[in-house]
Parts: sequence; C-alpha cells; structure tokens
Amino acid sequence: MDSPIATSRTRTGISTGLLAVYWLMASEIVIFGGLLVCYLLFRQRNPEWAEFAALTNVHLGALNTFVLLTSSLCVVLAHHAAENKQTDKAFKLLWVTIFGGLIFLCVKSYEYYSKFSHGIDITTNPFWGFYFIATGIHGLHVIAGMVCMAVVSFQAKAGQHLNRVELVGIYWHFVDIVWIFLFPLLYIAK
Amino acid sequence: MSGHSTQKYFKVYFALVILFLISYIVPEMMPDNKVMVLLSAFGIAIVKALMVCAYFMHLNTERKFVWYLLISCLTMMYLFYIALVPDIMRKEGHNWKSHIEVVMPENHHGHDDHHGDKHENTEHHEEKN
Repeated sequence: MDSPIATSRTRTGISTGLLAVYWLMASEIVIFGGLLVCYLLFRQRNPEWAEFAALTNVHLGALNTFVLLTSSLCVVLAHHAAENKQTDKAFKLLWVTIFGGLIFLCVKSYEYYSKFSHGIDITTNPFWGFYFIATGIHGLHVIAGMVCMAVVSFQAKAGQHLNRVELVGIYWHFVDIVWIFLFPLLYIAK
Repeated sequence: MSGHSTQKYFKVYFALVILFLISYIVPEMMPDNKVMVLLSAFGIAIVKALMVCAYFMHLNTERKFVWYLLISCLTMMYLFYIALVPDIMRKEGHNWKSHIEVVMPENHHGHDDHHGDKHENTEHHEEKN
C-alpha cells in the first residue's frame, strides 16, 4: 500500500524526518542564539553582573551537565540498538534517558526553589531575568524531549517507526548542546 | 561487531566527561585567573559541542549541506552580535545617555482616588542601560 507521507527526499538524499529535525534545530539555534547573544551583550555592558552569577549553584549546574551528557550516551546507544532491531534494548535505553531528564528537572526545580526562598525571582534584576528565561525555556525543551521519547519508545518496542529513535535522539543531543553553553555562561563566568 | 561500534560511543562519552571535569575544576582551583576560567569554560564548551555534533548526532558522516544549514544559523547569531556590540559598549556620544532615569509617577494632591496608597511609594532611581 502506498504511504501518503513522503518519507524520503531524493534531492537532499536524507529522510524527510531527518531533514525536518535539522530544520527544527536550525530554528532553535536562532531562538537560543538570540537569547544568549542578548545575554552576552548585557553581560559585557554590566560587569557587576558577576556578583549575581556568583550566587548560582555551580555544583548543581555541574551535576546537571553530567546527567545530560550521560543521557546523551544512553540515547545514542538506543539509536544503535534500534538500528540493529534490538527493540527491547532501545525501549529500555530510551527510558533511562527519560529518567535522566527527570533527574535534570528535579535538580533544576530544587535550584529554582532555593532562589525563590532567598527572595530571588525573574523580576529581581535583568541577570535573574535572563537566568530564569534561559533555563526555563531549556527546561521546557527537556520536557518536550521526554514526552516525544516516551511516545517513540512504545513505537520502538512494537517494532514500528524505528527511524524515529534517531530523530528524537538528535533533538535530545541538541538540548544537551544548549546546556553545554548555558552552564559556563550562567554558572562559571563570574 | 555491534559491541565494537558501541565502544566508540563510550570512548567519546569518557572524553566528554574528562573535558567537563576540566571545565568544572579549573574555575574552582584558580577563580582569580579570569583568562584561564573563560578559556577553559568556553573553549571546552565549543569542543564538547563539536564532539556531540560529530559523533553522537553523526554529523561527521552526514551530508555537507546539513553543516552549512546549521553554520549559517550560527553566522546569523554572530552578525546579530557584531551589529549590536559597538552600540551597546559605547559609553558616550551626542545626546547619548549611558544611564536611563526611571521616574515613578508622583502623588498628585487633590487627586483623591482609590489608588492613593500606591502613589505614596514614589521612587526616583537610575538603571543602567
């Protein structure tokens, strides 16, 4: 039976889904890039923001970096398993990745709680505005990635749409890369 | 064969963890050396991002136009930065104010309304541009 969905592009030589994920990444680069460039410009103009950056918890930020790096390894292993038709292994590895995302969100929530309890919120000053917006948008991307991964994991377990494991993996790696830059920008540079 | 190819991912992962540890430990050990802190933090972040792109996202074996697509977006970011930075970093100029005066509305006597309490807290302060 003919599928109504175009699954390949002869012009580009890569699958439609993969092409869509790369376009999504390109648009995300503009979103996060614009935000981070604005932050850099403000930071250069206001060197005293280093005092606020010193109030961020570097250890928790480092823990989250480690968690995301490990979850990136899990999702690439899930992709490898899916390629070899090891559907159960792919399913398990995707759920380990989701668990990593959950740990990340728990640590982030604790950080937010800690800031709020010290009277710091998004309106305190522009530095904290950037902090909460950048980490908040990133957190929403983590949640979106977890939801997509949960859906894809059940499809993979049933042996359907195994190519989607790679697509959701690429998205997850991108989320990891954004955090790789947020960590030094918001936590280390003082 | 399968085990052999997953070894590659573990090697990349351990390299990423070592780089991450360096970027975490160097600022803790020498917080006063700003150059070292920034170089280790951002230099390593760029290397880590490239490694994730190349080996985990498999862009090293992907078609070249994908790199061009992503790099063109990064170039937009760079253009955005260099277009604004001369203006943002400027400290003086004709009719140039490096500080914005934020004047809160004053309490008008005789203007008896229900919002009187709010007007009592008038402030006059400066915010940096």
